[in-house]
Amino acid sequence: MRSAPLPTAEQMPIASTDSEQEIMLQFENASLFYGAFRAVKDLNLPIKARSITAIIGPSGCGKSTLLRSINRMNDRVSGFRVAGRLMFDGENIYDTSIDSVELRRRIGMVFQKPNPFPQSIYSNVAFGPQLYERMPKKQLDDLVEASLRAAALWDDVKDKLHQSALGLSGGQQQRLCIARAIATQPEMLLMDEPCSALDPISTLKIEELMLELKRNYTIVIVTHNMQQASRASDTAVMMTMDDDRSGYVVEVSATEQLFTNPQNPITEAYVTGRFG
Amino acid sequence: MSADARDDIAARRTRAALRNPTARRRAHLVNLLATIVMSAAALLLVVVLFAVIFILLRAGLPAISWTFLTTGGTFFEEGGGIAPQIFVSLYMLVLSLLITTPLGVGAAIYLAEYAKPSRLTSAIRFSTEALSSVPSVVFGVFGAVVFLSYFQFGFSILSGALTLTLLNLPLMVRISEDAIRSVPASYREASLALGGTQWETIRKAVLPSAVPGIVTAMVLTGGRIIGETAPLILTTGTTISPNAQYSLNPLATGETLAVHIWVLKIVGVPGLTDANSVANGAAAVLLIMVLLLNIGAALFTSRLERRLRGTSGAPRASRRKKE
Amino acid sequence: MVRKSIWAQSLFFSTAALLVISTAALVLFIGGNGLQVFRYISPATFFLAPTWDQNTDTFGILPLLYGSIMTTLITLIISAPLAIAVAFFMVEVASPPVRRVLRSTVELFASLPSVIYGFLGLIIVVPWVREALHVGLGKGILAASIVLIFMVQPTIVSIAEDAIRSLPESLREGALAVGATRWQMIWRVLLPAARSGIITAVILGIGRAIGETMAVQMVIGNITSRIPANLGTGATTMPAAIVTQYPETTSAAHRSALIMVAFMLLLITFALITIVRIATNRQPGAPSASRKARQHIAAPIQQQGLTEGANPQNLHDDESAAFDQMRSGA
Repeated sequence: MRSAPLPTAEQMPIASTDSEQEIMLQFENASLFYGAFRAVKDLNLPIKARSITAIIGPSGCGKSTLLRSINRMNDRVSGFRVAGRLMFDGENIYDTSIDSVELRRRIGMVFQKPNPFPQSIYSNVAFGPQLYERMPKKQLDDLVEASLRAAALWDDVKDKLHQSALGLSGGQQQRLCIARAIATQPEMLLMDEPCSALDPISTLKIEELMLELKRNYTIVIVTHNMQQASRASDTAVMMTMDDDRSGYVVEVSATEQLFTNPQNPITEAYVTGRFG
Repeated sequence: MSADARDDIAARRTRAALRNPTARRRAHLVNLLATIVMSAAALLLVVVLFAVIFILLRAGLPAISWTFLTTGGTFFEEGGGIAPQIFVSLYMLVLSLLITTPLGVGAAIYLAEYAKPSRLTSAIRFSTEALSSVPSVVFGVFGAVVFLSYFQFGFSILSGALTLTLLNLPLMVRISEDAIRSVPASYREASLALGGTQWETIRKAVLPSAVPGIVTAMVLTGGRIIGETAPLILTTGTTISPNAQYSLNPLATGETLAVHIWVLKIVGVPGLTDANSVANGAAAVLLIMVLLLNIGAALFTSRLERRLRGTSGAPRASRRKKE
Repeated sequence: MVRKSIWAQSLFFSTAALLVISTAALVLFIGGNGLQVFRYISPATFFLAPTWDQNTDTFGILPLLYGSIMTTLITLIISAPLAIAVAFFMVEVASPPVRRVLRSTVELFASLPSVIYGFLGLIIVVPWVREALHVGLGKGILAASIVLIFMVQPTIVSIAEDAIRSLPESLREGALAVGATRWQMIWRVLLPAARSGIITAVILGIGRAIGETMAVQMVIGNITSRIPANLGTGATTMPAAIVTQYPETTSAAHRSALIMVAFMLLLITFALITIVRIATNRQPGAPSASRKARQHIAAPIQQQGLTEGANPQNLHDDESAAFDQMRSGA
């Protein structure tokens, strides 16, 4: 799939062939609060490196809150706080000494509705790297190309890099957002229902893309689409809402097992379509 | 954990560490600087406003007394007051509002209730837009040419009131139209379903609810009227004839408080030794009048907003017309 | 089937038609009388002579034009960045109570009468220019510009603030999620995205500055006979000259010359609103930030509260509200 010159080895993560996967991210006894309201409780959730973890569950059970707490996007909401710890690379990312700006370079995010900047395609992708690095133009061009290739968008846009990103179709815009996110060479990619605003064909393309991307990135995806979760993920996390309106994790296991042989009755009810 | 995996983590950690911490620190510094600059700009505005009000009141309040507010100006001695000018300002306010409000509300009713998209309606909207952007001195010239000379009203309160009407019409129309449009559709539907004509519907179901908004429009327009100077210099004049100081004759010349301030400071009143003190007092009074009007309008608006928000959507049952 | 009473509709229609008639009358009367000036002076003299002297019946508009342009330029150079900074502060940095305070502050600035600004200019700015800055005698273009800065910034702040606030939250999240600091987000994403709304704000600020009469007239010195040598020497602007000289015109030529100046002000104003219309109608991809900026600007700014909550439709163009802010409060 890749035929263009790639960035050098230091710039791309090394794919490990070891089947035993390390833990990239770990929630430790974490609860997420909006003011006094506890949105998600009792999180003890590991995220394995270089795999796709899907978070599923009915609406309103805190899936997005969980996801957005990983790259501290919830900091924008006043009153948001975290009890417990969220360990990433040996540090609690909610420690006050952590620079959330740097964290977001290392953990990228793709949103539900594609949100490219009203700028050219090139400048969308180059945006992240240019925040901190003054690269020679050739290096930047290569990085943009590599990112667009990794997002399976290069062939579509290679002749119109300097046209407005808003001229692309929905599916293309979303892939552009993926390219933009990986241009900063993050270690993790968070995806918040990335296909819910897209047509089925674009959705499938992005799912294929995810399977390619997981070779180098750890992906956590929130999705409403159970077929998508079962198709595209390695680990599935089932969440639901308790009577006190807090979300919690019902069950975590390998995707295939969760869908074919769920341990928890709630999970079973959800995956067989009886609620949600 | 295997050796490969451990290497992997190490490589990642190195890469992370190499992520140009200097650039990052610089970005944070720039961010901080930008925040400081933006905050300073905002602070500047607030401080200047307070300073302005403080200075005006400190200079003017000592000059204000009951005598000051109730006696007329003097020409060659101290101790005169601004009562005639206050009177003219209030007279101008009432007269101009009496003309502007029906015209403005009428146009607003047309635009909100009757007008269909058409070239004519676009022309009306364009005119409203155009009128609202014209500098006030141009209205003054228009008033001088049309009302003063052509209609031969001369320098008079009437000329000024008519000129100010033109000036304020767009404002009155727009706010009234907003108020009328924001009356819930269900009010209209209820009335029409009961067999009312369109006018009856407007008169009985729509206008009463729009009244608070229209009153706000009047108050804001009033604030403008009290503060306007240039058009009045050209149409109402800068003097009050001593024999007709509190006259209700609309064809008399007049001098509003705002114009009086200008006269005192720029044109000069010959022989008036305490002109500065009178001007200070007049400016303070004008400021207080305008502040009261605007604060009043703001309070009224927020009360109105709360009322509207509370009943957004279907009106409460008790509000339905009982017929 | 809605029953209509024709007389009611006609009555209201006639009041609405009044708006069109007034606009037409404005153009006709002012233009008609203004163009009379060319019976007395040649267009070349009027537009090119560097002096406006009622004693010699020489009416060249250059000193007036110069004053208008210079004051507007100086004012905008300081006021525009200041106002845009305040606008970004209000939307991106300020907490809700601070934002409310700032909104009220901006509203109050907008509601102060022009004479009050002129009065303050006389007792504070002019002495300061004379004594602290040692620029001429104080009254002049600099003093006028300083006063105008504070008169113009409410216009720019409110329209720019609205344009910025209309930007979708997803834009901000996209920038932050990729590791931008708040300033980087503002400078690299929000500012370009709100560009047309901000430009509209500045253009309307220009209109406000050009049309302002009383505050300028009180601090600029009102010398029309020549172009001033420096920023502290008596000067004039188009509106200031009109209000100073119209009450005491010395000849028919003088009178029509002044009306012609008023006509030019009218034309400049119409040109500006046309530019704004064009600029805000041609928006490639950026969400209707400036369209909402036009719609949403209730002037006086107080009305934002009312129209925001109460009128979800906002069917009509509220540019006129924005344009209200262009008009001087004199």
